[in-house]
Order: sequence, then C-alpha cells, then structure tokens
Amino acid sequence: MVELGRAFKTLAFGEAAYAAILVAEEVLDVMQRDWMRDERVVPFVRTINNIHVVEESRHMRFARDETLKRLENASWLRLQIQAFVVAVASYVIVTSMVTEKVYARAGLDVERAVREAKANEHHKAMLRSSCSGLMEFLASARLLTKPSLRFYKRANLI
Amino acid sequence: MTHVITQTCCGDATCVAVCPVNCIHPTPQEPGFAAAEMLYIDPASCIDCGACVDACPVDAIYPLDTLPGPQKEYARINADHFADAGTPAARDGSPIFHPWEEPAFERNLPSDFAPIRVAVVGTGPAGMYAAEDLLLHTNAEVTLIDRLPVAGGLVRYGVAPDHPATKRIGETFARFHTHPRVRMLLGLHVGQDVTVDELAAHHDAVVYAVGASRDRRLGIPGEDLPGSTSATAFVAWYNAHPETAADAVDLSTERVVVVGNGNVALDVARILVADDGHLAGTDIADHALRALRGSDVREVVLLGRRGPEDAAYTRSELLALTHLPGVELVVDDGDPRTGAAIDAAGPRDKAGLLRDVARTKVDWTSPPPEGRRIVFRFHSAPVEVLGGDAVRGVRVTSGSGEVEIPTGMLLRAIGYRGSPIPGLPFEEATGTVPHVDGRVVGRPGTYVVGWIKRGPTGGIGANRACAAQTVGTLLADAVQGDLPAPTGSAKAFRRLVRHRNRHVVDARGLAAIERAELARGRRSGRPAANWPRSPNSWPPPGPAAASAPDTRTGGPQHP
Ligand SMILES: Cc1cc2nc3c(=O)[nH]c(=O)nc-3n(C[C@H](O)[C@H](O)[C@H](O)COP(=O)(O)OP(=O)(O)OC[C@H]3O[C@@H](n4cnc5c(N)ncnc54)[C@H](O)[C@@H]3O)c2cc1C
Ligand SMILES: NC(=O)c1ccc[n+]([C@@H]2O[C@H](COP(=O)([O-])OP(=O)(O)OC[C@H]3O[C@@H](n4cnc5c(N)ncnc54)[C@H](OP(=O)(O)O)[C@@H]3O)[C@@H](O)[C@H]2O)c1
Ligand code: SF4
Ligand code: SF4
Repeated sequence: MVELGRAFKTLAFGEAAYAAILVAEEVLDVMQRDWMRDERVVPFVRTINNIHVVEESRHMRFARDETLKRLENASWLRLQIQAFVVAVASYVIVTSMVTEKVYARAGLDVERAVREAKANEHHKAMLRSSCSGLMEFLASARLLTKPSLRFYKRANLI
Repeated sequence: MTHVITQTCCGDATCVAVCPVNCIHPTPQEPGFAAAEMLYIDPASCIDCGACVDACPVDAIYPLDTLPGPQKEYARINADHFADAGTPAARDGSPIFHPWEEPAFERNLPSDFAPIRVAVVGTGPAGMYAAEDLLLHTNAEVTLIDRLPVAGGLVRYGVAPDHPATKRIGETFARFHTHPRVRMLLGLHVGQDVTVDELAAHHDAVVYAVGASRDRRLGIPGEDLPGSTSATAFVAWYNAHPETAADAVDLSTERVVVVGNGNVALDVARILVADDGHLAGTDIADHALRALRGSDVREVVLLGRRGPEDAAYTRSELLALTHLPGVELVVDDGDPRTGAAIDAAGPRDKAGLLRDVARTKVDWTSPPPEGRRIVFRFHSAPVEVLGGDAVRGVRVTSGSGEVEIPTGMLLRAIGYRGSPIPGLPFEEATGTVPHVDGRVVGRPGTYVVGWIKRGPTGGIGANRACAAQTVGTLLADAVQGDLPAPTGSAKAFRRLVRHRNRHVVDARGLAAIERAELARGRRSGRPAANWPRSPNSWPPPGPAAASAPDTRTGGPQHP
C-alpha cells in the first residue's frame, strides 16, 4: 500500500486518484449490497452496510464526475498514463486489499481462501459481473487502453 | 426532490442495480416487470444520488428540476405509479432502511468451469445481451457474427433517427465488440456463407439472435400494387439499410394510410410529417432527408382494427406524438364506439391517453386540410387496396359498412416476421424457432434469443431478461456435459470463413466505418451520416475503408 501511495504521488494526477477511489468503492459497494440484503448476516453489520451503500452512492457519483471533468481535455499521452495508473491501481486493489478483507470478515482462512479464489471460475465470474458498471464507466472515460486491458484481464475484471 | 424516468426508457433495469435505496420499480424480481412498458422512480424514497443517471444507457433519467419541457409530465407519471401500487416499506424491525429482496445468485458455475467457445449470430440487442452475459459470467470465447457489415441490428436499422438517446445504447453494446475474448465477423451470412452445421462443428455452442427481419402481409387484394409497402421496408429506407434502394419510396401523395397502431406505426407516421429541419439534425439517411424535404405528405392516417382501449402503442410514444411541433393530432370520430371508449376510460387506461386529443368526423371524400396532421382511426381494417397500376385508395371497414380512403401510399405496420435459417427448425405460424427455455428443440448445443425466440414484440430492454434465460440454459447444459464437443478448432473456423467470404469486416474494420461516418456527418454539419452499403461492396478492413465511402454511393448529396 505504501509503495502504491508513493507511485501515486509521482505518477497520478487528480483523475487517477478519483478513478482509483471509484474502483475500490465500486467493488465494496457490490459486496455490501449483497450482505445488507442477506438475512444470514448479523443485523448490525447489515445496518452498517446499508449506511455505506447510501453514502457511497454519492461519493461514487462525485468521483465519476471528477474523473470525466479532469480527463475532458487530456492529451493522448496523459490519457495513456492515467489509464495505465488506474489499471495498476485497480489490479492492486482488487487482487489484494478487497478480497482478503472479505475473507477475513467472513471468518475464513485468508491464505487458503485467496489461493482457492484465484483458481475459482465462479469467483472470477462474480468479480467480472459485479464490476461491469465500473468497466462501463472506465470505457466511457476512454480509460480502457490496450496496455491497461492486460491488467483488468489479469484482475478478472473483464 | 426526486429523479424521474422519462420517454426513452427501454426497461432494461440497469438502473435498478445501482440504486442505493431500491426506489426504482418494478424490479426484475417483481411480478409487474415483464408487462411494464417502463420503470418508475418513487419520489417518496429517491435520495437524488444520481447513480441511476450515470448507469442508464439511453439517458432516460433526469433530476426533477432539469426535466426538459415535453418530459415534464413524467414527474406525475412516475409518482402515479406508486400512488397506485403504494410505496414499498421496509419490514418493521428490519436492520436495513429500505425494502430489498434477498440477493439472488442466479449463476453458480463450478469452480473449475472450462472455457467454452460460443458463436453468437446477430449483433442486435438480443445477441449483444447474450454475449455480455457470457463474457461477464464465464471465461467463454465469443465469435460475434452478423450478416451485415455494420453491427447493431435494429438499434441501427430500426430505431427511429429522431430517437438519438435510444440509439446511444449502441455504445454500451459496442464496448463488447472489442472485448479481448471476442472475435467479430461482420458481413458473414449464416445459412449462406457458412452453414448451421459448420458453425456448430467449430463451437461448443451457437446462439441465434437473428431477429425478425421480414414483414407480415395483410392478405388482401391489391396489396402488391406500387405504393403499397411494409413499414419494415420504409423503416429500412430511412435508416439507410444496405438492402434498400435510395429511391424505394415515392412521397408524392398528400395522404398516407398506415395499417396498425403499434410503436412502429407511430415511428413511421412521425417521420412522415416531421419537420425536415429537425430531421436534418439526426442521422437519418441522406436520400430519405432529401425525399422528405420534397414530400407532399400532409396527413397520415393510422388504422386500428380494434378500439382505442386496445391500441398497440405504448404510453410514452403516444405522449411524444402529442408534443410534435407543427403537427396536429386528431381522432376520427366517425365511429361512436371510439369516443365512448375514450370518455369512459379511467385516467390510467389506454384509451384515456387520447382524452385531450381533438376529435372530428373526418370527411374522406375531400383532400386533407392545410397543415400537417396525424389521424387515429379505430375499429377499421383494410379490405382492399384500390388502383390500376398504383395505389389510389384503400377500402376499409367502419361501424356502418365500408368506406374508401383516397391515398397514394399504404404502409402496413402490422408487425415484423422471423425468417427460417436453413438447418434450424422453424414454426411457420409464429415465425420463430421452437425452443425450450432458449434451447432449440432437437439440436443440442443450439440456442435462440430475442425476436427469433419470442416473436417480434418487446422493446430493447426485454431482450436482456430473455438473454439471461437462454444463457442460463446454455451454461446449465455446459455444466451437465450436454454440449456436443466441437470437431474443428477456432483456427480452422477462421480459415473456413476466409475461404468463403473475403469481405468479412472485423472490429477494426467496423471502427474505420464508424470514423468515416462521423467525418462525413461533420462535413455536412450532421451528427453522423449513414449511407447504405451492401455487404459485398464494402472493401475489406484497412486504411482504405476510411476514405472509400464518398466514391461508393456517388458521394453525399447535401443540398
Ligand atoms: C422500427 C423499430 C423501431 C424500434 N424502436 C425501439 C425503440 O425506440 N426502443 C425500444 O426499446 N425498442 C425499439 N424497438 C424494438 C427493438 O428494436 C427490438 O426489441 C430488438 O431489436 C430485437 O432484438 P434482436 O436482437 O432479437 O433482433 P435484431 O435487432 O433485428 O438483430 C438481429 C441481427 O441478426 C442479424 N442476422 C439476421 N440473420 C442473420 C444470418 N443469417 N446470419 C448472420 N446474421 C444475421 C441481423 O443482421 C441483425 O443485425 C424497435 C423495433 C423496430 C422494428
Ligand atoms: N419504444 C419505441 O419507441 C418502439 C418503437 C418501435 C417498436 N417498438 C417495439 O417493437 C415491437 C414491435 O412493434 P410493432 O409496431 O411492429 O408491433 P405491434 O406493437 O405488435 O403492433 C402491430 C399492430 O398491427 C396491427 N395488426 C396486426 N395484424 C393486423 C392485420 N392483419 N390487420 C390489421 N391490423 C393488424 C395490430 O393490431 P392488433 O393489436 O389488433 O393485433 C397492432 O396495432 C413492439 O413491442 C414495440 O413496442 C418500440
Ligand atoms: S432504460 Fe434502463 S436504465 Fe434507463 S431508466 Fe429505463 S430501465 Fe432504467
Ligand atoms: S437518484 Fe439515486 S436514489 Fe434516486 S432513483 Fe436514482 S439511484 Fe435511486
């Protein structure tokens, strides 16, 4: 995380930061929606999830708007750099941060869960379908460049 | 405040999945969904987060205070839906603030699901929803095929040019044209260039999304006279379909009679009387714009064989008609049943939509009055098309005997019709391929989706749920091991295709075509100028594609 932060400082202009926030929030949003509706989850967690879902909807709108606004007049080169940085950030977020937390929260052995999830087609399908809205947005923001697609593919987002 | 869903809603429910307070209804899990013409936002619960605005593929959603003029009435229409159905409330003691259904995990792929190779035939909404579903939920490789050199199906060649927001859903679908696991083959006719069996032999499964491209016939005398044609042909003409001639339509008549009052009938009526200045700002075909500028048409009569309570149009399209600048809307009051049904209708009944529309007893013996107008005539079916060597009139039924309506053009907008694909079973009566939950009867590994599966009804969004059913069946079959193993590889298929048709356009070729269209539109001050091109006249993809168009059709003739 620290390295990522440092890389961000040097590489990222504002839009990449917003887009990266978006990636993290979108992924969490989809999961929280499932948990809050799931009767098997303890009630107070459901309430917290519900609060997050409502709050994040506004953050995400803001982050989308900011990303688009900042990219509006971006040069080709700048777009390429941004697309690349966002892709790397998404990859890191999706492959490490989120999934592990999820397993820990679900009370699973993190290491084993991660190993199995990596090979699990069902898990990949869930990731891809949950993040389709996000990918749709990144596409409309012209952030799905050729090099960045490789990262999304590896992260099972596409 | 609240947000409001408006006219262009195609009911695909993309917005439902992003709303944080579940205030958009009916949801796909709710009973009213299948029959709903559009979705509605509950003003009592909406928190104005705007997530739905970003998600909607056809720009149908606005914050209440920015509703454009003609869409303002949708504030009431959205609210009324919940006045009738009631605002759903969270159960007492629930830990969450809004009523939600349990999460549904419809797809449960085994963790070791092996990648399958699927061909999707047809790039209209049904094919693209199926491809999207496969790409998002599996690691499948998808071959996307269309017989036309341009993707989109009816989004491109059906949706009216004055519905630009609806056409924008094409951009959402286009995202998957360049997906890393997609290979696109445009200009490849399945059943002619490659057979159904050859396609099956090179894929684990084949999904047919070939739509319903033909028209239905009235079966009355005179139907084939020059001047009598189908709305299918007329729509193809104004949308620059590659298989319609630029001079296919003659508009030197003051009155056009349209049979049927579905949304397609409304589309053609609107285009026939629309202001040509407005149409010039759309991507309507050049030849159609030119013809409409020189058109004599002042009146379009829509014949409904049943009453206003059974009209086939949707509320949103009828309402849009009432806002057409410079066009008067009239109900023919000749049959007392028509007025009676409108007067007796409740505020939300179909017939009630015509309550504020002028009613007159139309005198069919005199020419249409000055100005442009659309006339709704109910309880009236055509009996015979009159004329010696061209349409001169049409004899129609009325409450008392038959009447003759003088006209030079009869358009039958009585529905589309699927056509058989050699090698697949076909049901003549419905014009569809027989299937069980999307699986073609008697052909393992073969599936159907969209209009060729359900018949030619339903808007764009209806194909999404339809595709989910078909793909669900396909994946269940794959998991069961019921898909016949392909005998040929992907590479062998590519070789076969190259061998059969050297004009196939891929994703890059399509992008070149689209760039050329935009450039051509810019030169003439229009959003994008479509031009007809036949599959075989289109050059193979490459740099040449971008510069070819002007020479091919004799160049854009913009006045
Ligand atoms: C005139 C008109 C206007 C409409 N406007 C709207 C609207 O504004 N809003 C709305 O929500 N809905 C609208 N609809 C409805 C909507 O277009 C349909 O619901 C939808 O297009 C059906 O999708 P489909 O994929 O089944 O068929 P299609 O869209 O027709 O796609 C079929 C595709 O298959 C291809 N194909 C056919 N045969 C072969 C073959 N042998 N080999 C290879 N490819 C083949 C065709 O070229 C075509 O691209 C309209 C319909 C019509 C007719
Ligand atoms: N949202 C949009 O803007 C839009 C635009 C275009 C199309 N669409 C959708 O596309 C689908 C197809 O539309 P459509 O207009 O082709 O079909 P449709 O809605 O089924 O309408 C067909 C019309 O033809 C009439 N008809 C059928 N056979 C007839 C006959 N033999 N004699 C006289 N009249 C006859 C029908 O009358 P009866 O009702 O009496 O059978 C009906 O009025 C619809 O679901 C429509 O909503 C949507
Ligand atoms: S078109 Fe789809 S996303 Fe837009 S309002 Fe209608 S259902 Fe919602
Ligand atoms: S604005 Fe937000 S709360 Fe309102 S309908 Fe749209 S997504 Fe739901």
